[in-house]
Amino acid sequence: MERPPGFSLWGLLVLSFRFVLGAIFLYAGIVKIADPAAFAQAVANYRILPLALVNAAAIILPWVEVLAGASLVLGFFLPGGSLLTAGLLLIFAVALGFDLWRGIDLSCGCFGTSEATVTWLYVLRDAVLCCMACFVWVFSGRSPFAVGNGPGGS
Amino acid sequence: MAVGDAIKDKVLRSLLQAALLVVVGALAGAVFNTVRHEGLPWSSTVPAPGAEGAVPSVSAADAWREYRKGLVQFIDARSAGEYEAGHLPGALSLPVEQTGELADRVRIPAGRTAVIYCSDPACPKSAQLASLLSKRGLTGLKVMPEGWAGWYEAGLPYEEKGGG
Repeated sequence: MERPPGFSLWGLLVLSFRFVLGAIFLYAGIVKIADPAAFAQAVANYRILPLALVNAAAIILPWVEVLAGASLVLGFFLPGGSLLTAGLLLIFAVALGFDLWRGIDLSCGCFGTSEATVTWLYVLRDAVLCCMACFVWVFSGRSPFAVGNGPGGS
Repeated sequence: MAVGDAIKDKVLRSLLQAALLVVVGALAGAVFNTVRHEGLPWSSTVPAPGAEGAVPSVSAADAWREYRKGLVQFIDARSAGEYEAGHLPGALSLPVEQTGELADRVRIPAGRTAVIYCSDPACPKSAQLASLLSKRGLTGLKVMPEGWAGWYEAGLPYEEKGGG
């Protein structure tokens, strides 16, 4: 596999994606931690999780978002952090898409309580962010794409 | 071969790290929720529609009968868009997502029962709004579990924004 051309530009792209995604996740997590009851209500309105699990999700998910965001911004556990971010975004997109398809009227709850009703643009937004996270994952740490050019690579 | 191994190694390492982040996040969430002033109970506080101890419910047919006697004020817990597309006669729009200040301005005309509804029997919004409003001191609340769908299917009259 060839190294991508303009490697420093590539690195800059990864870095900017990390900061954008990380900032979004830190913000989203902190807003939800600030008002767990509102977030629990938003989760319940998705009508996907059984009611018994709604509060547990509302207690835990924001902290997972904060950790994923911190991982992206600070660069620790970067492969895991970017994979987790991509996975979360995939879950969000599927949940939103599922409810849109079912015709459930929903406010996102993505950044605390937002009044706007969810549209397919929200799913698109999550999908784009998910692609960015995948990009970061691919080029995080020791890129497997560089192994072919490297010495040995046992 | 080497590339395949490297990718496998990276996937495993990533999964392990991601799992660790989730576990630490769950622990942090649990600890913070325990020590914070107003932590959430682990089991849901939102009463399920029709659950024991929830606000009493009323059927669409009974609600319509009471409404014609002037004893009912309908409250629509759905979004503003759904409300505008069609709502029960004389209903107040009170989307549960934005009840913050709106809820403080709710005035139920004297002698009327507030009957709260959302889209269908499975929707949680009417129960949420009922518990929210009763926490704010409103009494005489009822929930109509059949919701907009049941009302519409029963062929009962409704209003549209602009359409009268």
